[in-house]
Amino acid sequence: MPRNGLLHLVTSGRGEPSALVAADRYWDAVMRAAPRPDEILDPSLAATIDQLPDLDDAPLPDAAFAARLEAELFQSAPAVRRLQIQRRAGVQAVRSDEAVTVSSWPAMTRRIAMRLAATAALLAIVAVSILTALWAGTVRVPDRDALPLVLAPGITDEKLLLQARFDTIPDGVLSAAIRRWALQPGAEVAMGRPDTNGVAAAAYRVETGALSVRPDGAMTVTRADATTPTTVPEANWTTLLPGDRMFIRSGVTSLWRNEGSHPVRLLEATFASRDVQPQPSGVLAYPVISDGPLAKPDQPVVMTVFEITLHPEGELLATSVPGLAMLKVESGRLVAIDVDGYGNPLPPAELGQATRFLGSFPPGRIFRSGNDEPVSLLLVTIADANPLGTGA
Amino acid sequence: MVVVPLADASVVRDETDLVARAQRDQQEFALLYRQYLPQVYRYCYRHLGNREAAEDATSQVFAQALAALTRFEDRGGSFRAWLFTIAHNTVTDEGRRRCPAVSLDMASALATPGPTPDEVVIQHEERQTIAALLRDLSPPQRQVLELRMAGLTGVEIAAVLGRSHGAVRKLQYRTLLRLRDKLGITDGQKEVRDAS
Repeated sequence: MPRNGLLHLVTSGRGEPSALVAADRYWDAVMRAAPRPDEILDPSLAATIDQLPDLDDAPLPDAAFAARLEAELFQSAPAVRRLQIQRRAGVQAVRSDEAVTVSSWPAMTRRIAMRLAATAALLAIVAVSILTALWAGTVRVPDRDALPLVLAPGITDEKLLLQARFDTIPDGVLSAAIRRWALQPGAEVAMGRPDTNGVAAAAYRVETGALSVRPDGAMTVTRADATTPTTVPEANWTTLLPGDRMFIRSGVTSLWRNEGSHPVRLLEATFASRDVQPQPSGVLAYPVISDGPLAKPDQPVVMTVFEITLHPEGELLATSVPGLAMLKVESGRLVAIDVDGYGNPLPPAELGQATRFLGSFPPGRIFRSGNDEPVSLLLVTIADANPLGTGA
Repeated sequence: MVVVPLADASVVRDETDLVARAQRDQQEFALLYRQYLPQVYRYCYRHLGNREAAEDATSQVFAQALAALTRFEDRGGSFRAWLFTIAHNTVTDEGRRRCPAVSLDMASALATPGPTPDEVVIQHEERQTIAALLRDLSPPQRQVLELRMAGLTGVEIAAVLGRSHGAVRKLQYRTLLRLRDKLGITDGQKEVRDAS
């Protein structure tokens, strides 16, 4: 038997090297603890496969962890996530027992009052932003100055980063993805292709630097100081500065170039059908937060990304943000507080190193700073683009 | 009290039925959870390297799976491949988050001299573990070995990675060659193992 497995490659009837097929079937059999197949496999490779399970030192899960996770998964209320598609943007998911609790003003605690105030303010932000997106069409980001500067006691510094309406979403296994791109000076990358960020539509916001873009189809740009998007014609170069947003439709490719002397950084919101692939030299892409796999939505949706600061005295009720799909801790320490079956708050749950929450927003869960420092949060909502449910 | 069997188990006999029941009643998902918890946890552990991170990632995987279960469609692909697609995406994201890119300048500043004698001994002892083998593989090869160690078939790995089965076969074959060399396995050893 040849020592080198490559010498053992013989084409099988289906056009694939028999050694590859043999190794695959042998490995399948080992994994299933099934009888070994008849194909001839290099004995040294068979020995390698046989030996691997004996070398596995990954431990089993701790029994306490297993029990705790099962309890969390199945003793909580039915899933509220529903793929983050909020049918009616203006409706808040408030528990009926909570409404009863606040019926008497003297009994209302300061905490509940703050929660309701924050809820109302967040509702207003999201509702206004979604309606604005609908009015503008494919993409539009309201002027930040048009929003209230203070959401509610304990929640400040809201910033609407990105908002886009997605009419065309690719088939296949999808994930809702928020990513960052960085281009070093002189770097260049072709976007909208399968080997870069994929072919799905995407919205971007320039965070730092100056980015030169040349689309091969029409794309829209909303300048930092404007509220109305403008169209950049095909094959025209345009330069985007910090705060500028652009929306590139599915199937439109574009050439990005950093012609400046400082790095360019962008925030991206998209429905991706695959992971970001390795990028050319000087170009870096990395996920901020993503959720998947997702089924293709039945109707156009609006994805909104905004940032808030949660101060130690404030609280964020998860279900108060319509269509909240993802939450990421940008800085600070966050704790989650759930309620028991009677609506009583449970002890705060330390969140460890987890900084991302995907659809884990059961009724009653609130988020609060875990210490005396403010927490910076990135919130992502996904809502039906037809909030009145009149169809796509 | 919740009793969770922790031993690795074979594939559920009638998984399709189990998934369909779980889609109608989320409490039924508990059976799938118990079935796959060890595999998912150990998969996360192999990728992330410590218990805390593995528990964190495992929690995310099952929470996402439970929330998305109604959207799972049996189109010939297995539930296991679907579940491990979630797990793969989760550990990939988590791995990137936990290991942010370090610039070359920073990397050189962080560089340390060669291993101490104690480290050499530890490295020698570690050579015969999956964790040590994984460190010597390229990222695509690591993905294949991690999914293989989780018990997935070649077809399922192709589904998880979004690649063709043929491409996965080639990749895992190269992985095998590298593993064989790392393990120093020869034909003679195979004969000894067979004889024993």
